[in-house]
Amino acid sequence: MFLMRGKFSRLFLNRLLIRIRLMSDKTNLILSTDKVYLLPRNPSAFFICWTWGRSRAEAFEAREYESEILVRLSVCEDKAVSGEASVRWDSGKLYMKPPAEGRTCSVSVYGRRKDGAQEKLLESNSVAAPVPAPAPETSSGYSSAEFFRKEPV
Amino acid sequence: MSSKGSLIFLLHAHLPYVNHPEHTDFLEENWFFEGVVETYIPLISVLDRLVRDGIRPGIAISVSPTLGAMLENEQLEKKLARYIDSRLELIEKELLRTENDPVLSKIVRLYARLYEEAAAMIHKYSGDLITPLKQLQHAGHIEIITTSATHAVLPLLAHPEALRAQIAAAADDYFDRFNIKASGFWLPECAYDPRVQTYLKLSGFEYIFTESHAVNFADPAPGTGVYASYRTQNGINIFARDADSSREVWSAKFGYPGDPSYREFYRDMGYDADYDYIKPYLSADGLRRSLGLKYHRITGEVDLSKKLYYDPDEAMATVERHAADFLDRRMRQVEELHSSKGIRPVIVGCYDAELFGHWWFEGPAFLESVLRKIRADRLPLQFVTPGEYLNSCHEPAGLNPQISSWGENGYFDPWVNETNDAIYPRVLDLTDRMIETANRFRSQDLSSVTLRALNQAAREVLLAQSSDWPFLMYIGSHSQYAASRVDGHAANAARLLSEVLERCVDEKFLGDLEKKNNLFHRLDFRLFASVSKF
Repeated sequence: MFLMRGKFSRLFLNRLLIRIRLMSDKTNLILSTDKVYLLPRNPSAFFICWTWGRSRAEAFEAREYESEILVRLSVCEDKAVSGEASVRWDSGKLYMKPPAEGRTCSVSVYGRRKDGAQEKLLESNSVAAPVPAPAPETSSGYSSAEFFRKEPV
Repeated sequence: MSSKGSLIFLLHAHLPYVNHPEHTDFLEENWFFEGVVETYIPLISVLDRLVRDGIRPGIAISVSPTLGAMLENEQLEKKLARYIDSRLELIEKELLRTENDPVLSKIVRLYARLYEEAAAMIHKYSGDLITPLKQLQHAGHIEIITTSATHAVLPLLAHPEALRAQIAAAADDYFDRFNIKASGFWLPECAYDPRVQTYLKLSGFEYIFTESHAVNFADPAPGTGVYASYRTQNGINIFARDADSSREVWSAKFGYPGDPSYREFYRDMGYDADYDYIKPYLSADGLRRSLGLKYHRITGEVDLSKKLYYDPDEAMATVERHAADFLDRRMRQVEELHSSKGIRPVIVGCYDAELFGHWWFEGPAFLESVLRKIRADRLPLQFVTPGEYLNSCHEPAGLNPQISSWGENGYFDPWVNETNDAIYPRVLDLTDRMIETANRFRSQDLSSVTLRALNQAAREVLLAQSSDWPFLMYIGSHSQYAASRVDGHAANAARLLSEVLERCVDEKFLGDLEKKNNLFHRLDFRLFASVSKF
């Protein structure tokens, strides 16, 4: 009975913690759905970010999955893997180097269950990697919101 | 003399939507007041003077939907009038204080004229500065284009539905504001990726502008470089920015705006004057800030405290010299392209409008001088609007531009980096929820309140996607405000969507949001419904 109460308490506590995180939402991590997004940054870097819905977050919190997830960047055309990274499930973001220029890529996120089975959890949108090209000098350090830079550079 | 080449001059006028009717005085609303007094009114005055003297400006202006909405906002108009009155009161005191100092009083009189001109124009158009722009376009003197609804960097919108919503809302907004269909679209931050083509075409846009490396490194690279227009596979025409003419105008380091005789932007009376003297003109928090009265010139690479007083006559002489130099360089560029490539080039200069007047105080005078000289000197160059150029040029060659922007390093680094990337999960997740809700309700008969709530949620999502927030976080200027805007719009949209799903819309909350974030009056949330479901 005591053990059950203890287990119940831990579960209750876990859920309460998750709710508190949902309410404060400071980490941006636990939002409404399980999603991973891929954005282009430049020819050397994609930006990848992910969010978890409540039930998946609870599954990670309850250690149904290992705490490390595998983020795999693949070329859409031939499914060739161009990069992998193992990161904590709640780290929420990652920069990865794209493969050869111009290739369209997507990201898959895998979790490993306690029994060792790997499970595909998320699949991103697809994005073409920008082609490296020397930008004109005028491109450096200016953008439309430059209007607001109120201190000397 | 027949024209040997064409010049396209595009001024991109944009400010993020900042409207806080709940406050009588709100710091970030000053961006709008400064923009109106120092840039938009001086530019309209330049265009009016040219037209009055029989000179057709022939330039293009992009007015962002957020700026357009602020220019039409009656509460902001009232605050703007108060801002101008307050500055005129300070200038009156300054005229008295400096009456025995001929150097300073000459500069103060310059500001008196600037603010009196602003007050007069606002009175003339009853506060609505869209009217003179509309009149100039209607008479064929300028061409006005638009940009994405809230200036979102389009390649950073992961969802095609969001792309479509940003573009389609801008097209509707333009039609409502200018009473004609927009043909030109300014890609915010010149940020291009091939996905935009489809939605630009769907919304009826005919041309866009890209950064030069989008065209110069296209596959295959065109022989005529950035000196011709091109056409994408689905028929969108492309103009590419010319790096040379951009650098001369744009760069504070290498370009005209850095000349020692021009007005110094960073030395401002708000920091120099006796605190008690200027206190009535500061914001409610009483902190020293720029007041827009700047009495010094750039002088050279010296400390701000060592800057010399500004001499308006000397600055105007420099303007004339720079305008002549600009045209001389363009003529040489045209001659060289004509002889080496056998083409009649088009040179495309794209600039932020706020560079002219706000940052580069003499910018409007420079523009006026260039446009007058081209006529007076009978140069074989012609200022044309993009639409005119497309009507008169040969069939453009096909081209697939490269992914690019005009930001630092030529891609998207300023808008996605460690200083601001935390906003993306939130904005993207919110967009997902908006799309899901739009799909769920798109075919339903909705009560008026539910419809209003969904439309307002769509407004909030669009506002959260603005490029200005991550950029402000990146440069560390007003970054807390920027972060609070993303959080605020995301929270507003999330609450509205939840209330719609739970059938318990808080009408007071909804009404307050409709008053505050009151742009895109006929926005339909269904713009966010999945593309495949249309």
